[in-house]
Amino acid sequence: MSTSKLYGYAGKILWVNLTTKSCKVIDTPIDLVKNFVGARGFGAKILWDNVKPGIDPLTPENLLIFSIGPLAGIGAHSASRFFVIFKSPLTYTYFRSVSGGNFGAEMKFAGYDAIVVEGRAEKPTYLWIYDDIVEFRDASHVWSSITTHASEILLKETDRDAKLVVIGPAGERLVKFASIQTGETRSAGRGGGGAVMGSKNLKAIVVRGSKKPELFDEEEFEKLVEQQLDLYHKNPSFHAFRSLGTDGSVYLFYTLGHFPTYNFKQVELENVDMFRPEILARYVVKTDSCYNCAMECWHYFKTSKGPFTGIIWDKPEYETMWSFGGNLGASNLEAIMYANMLCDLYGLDTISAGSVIAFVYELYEKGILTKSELDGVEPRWGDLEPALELIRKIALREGVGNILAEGVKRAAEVIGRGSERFSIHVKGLELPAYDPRSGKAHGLNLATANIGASHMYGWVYYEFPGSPGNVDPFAVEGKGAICRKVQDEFATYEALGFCLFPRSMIPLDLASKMLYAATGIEEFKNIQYLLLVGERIINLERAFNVREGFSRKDDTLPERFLREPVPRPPSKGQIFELDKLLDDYYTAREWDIKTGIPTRKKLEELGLKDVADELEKLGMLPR
Amino acid sequence: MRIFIEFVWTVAEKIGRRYIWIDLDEKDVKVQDIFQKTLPRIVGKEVGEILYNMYLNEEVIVVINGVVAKDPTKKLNDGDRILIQPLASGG
Repeated sequence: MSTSKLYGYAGKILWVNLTTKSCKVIDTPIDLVKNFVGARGFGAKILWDNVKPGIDPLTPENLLIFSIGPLAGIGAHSASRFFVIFKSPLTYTYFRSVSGGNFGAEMKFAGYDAIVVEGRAEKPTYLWIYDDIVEFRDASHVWSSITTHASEILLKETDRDAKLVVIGPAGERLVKFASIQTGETRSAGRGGGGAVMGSKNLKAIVVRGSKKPELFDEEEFEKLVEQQLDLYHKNPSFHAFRSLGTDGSVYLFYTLGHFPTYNFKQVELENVDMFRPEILARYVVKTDSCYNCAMECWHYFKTSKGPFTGIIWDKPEYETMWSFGGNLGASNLEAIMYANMLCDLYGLDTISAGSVIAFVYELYEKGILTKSELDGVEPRWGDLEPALELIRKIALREGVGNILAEGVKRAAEVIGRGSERFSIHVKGLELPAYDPRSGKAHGLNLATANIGASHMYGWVYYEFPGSPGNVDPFAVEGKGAICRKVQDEFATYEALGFCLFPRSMIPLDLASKMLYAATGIEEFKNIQYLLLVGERIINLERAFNVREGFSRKDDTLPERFLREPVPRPPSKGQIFELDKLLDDYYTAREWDIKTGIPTRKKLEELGLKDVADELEKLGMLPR
Repeated sequence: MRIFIEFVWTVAEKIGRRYIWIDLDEKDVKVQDIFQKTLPRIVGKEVGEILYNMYLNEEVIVVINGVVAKDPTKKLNDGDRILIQPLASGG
């Protein structure tokens, strides 16, 4: 049965212009729904259609798109995340950043599949959205305040039950890796969405809704949600994840050659035992979850000794345990927890912040930066006190923090003196806690991801933990196809709005049935159709970057991974074989091998003829 | 043959220790033998069986020298370092 009514979806997109203080509401187009499903797909298409190539990401011309999937707020578990899509001031590429919490579901209740923000407010502003009512409110009184304090005041003056996204001092100061925070401790962290928001003088968006979308087949949908829960409970990962979230993997991944150490020098980490899960689990005092998610993977840690005593805050995730732990040669858990909290309060991405700081530690070790150049800070591996001071300096752009706030790529360009060798990024996005030399398909994903070095763009589970399927992480052969498969699959799940953590517990077959029961759209019954949506999204994101001048030359990794063999087991002696792996990847993608650009044939196959035409008009389509 | 086994998280709690060095006289020792023969001698048959079933059901992960070992018939070598922990995932 086909349908013209949009079941499951909110059915509207809110378009806000901060410059003119005006807004419009449009019906969510059926073509957009069928070709891109939602969430990341919506964002990619809206950004491609509306952002001109070459713009400065911090000008009013950039868009900030908040989007959700069709399963948000209607009872599906782990499906109410919100996606933020924009041109990144850190990478100058297309970007998608993601967060959990409750904001995504509330957008749905307010009646919107997406909120698109353009322009720039004349003075600090926040948006108060209550169903169809949109108000542009003065935010001068909360400007300069940390995220939690601003949230408290804005909820008090709107509605205690509202949900919001907010930036901190870092976003206001256009720190290029400023995050967008929600619900105290959750972040759309990567890529500098907070800076884009700050550039628009937008402190927060507060949303409250009272609507409930109609489902195509509510009874069937409820049965499928039961199936989803049943699969969760039968899956061993579910129980591990509920116990300690991503922190259950810190010690394991170190053993597998990841959780890289000392700015990816990868020498053995002293006191790595501190990251064993049974030790981390001792800090848990409370758990919580995103909207309607049985995974319940938030774990509040309490510090109870030493100079950081007295904090109860959501735990540093695997990535943050690394960025302020292993990557700085540190194992002081309570200091890592404190660093994590500071980043949330200032509104900073913990991965990029820790990576920039690790870069400083290595430059200091090498004598490239001196104490006086660092405003008196003496960063030494293993000591987190200097890192805490640098977090503050970055967030407030104070002294050397003003350079570091630009991200590691531009900071290295400013500092010079050979520092570029130690700046660990791809396309400007600092690497996460995975060593490309310890998992070649993982590395390939980091090199080719359209947003720079993001692990969540295509986390290649085949290499580890090897479930389902298991491949040799050090092998090179066949990794292009594996990387492509996982990237497409992740894009599909993100178009549906799912969290990627429980992805292995939600077979695509079940996701497809849920989608059909919610929306009644025939095409969504077909898994291959949905996977094609994922591939379409990846290709459109790539086309956006091509239009910005990106090509194969940008799909690379820092020299450290290409020239320096890993010194510690199990990856001892490994380097990353870039050219061979890239050839394999482009071949698997059916892109032009020489340029890494999608061909007309591929784009037309994916229903993106207009995209091919535009690239050709710009002289950017391979012949 | 001497091997090192490291137990992590709830496996360590179940076994009651974190590390163990084991001298084995047998030749051709496989991963499954650790659960079916070696661990039962130390922690009792029941715990060995529980852990082996968890391994087969992918609730427990076995890592040998930093590489995930999913095949229970994989042979062990002198000096191997084995890690056994509940399955966990990253992000």
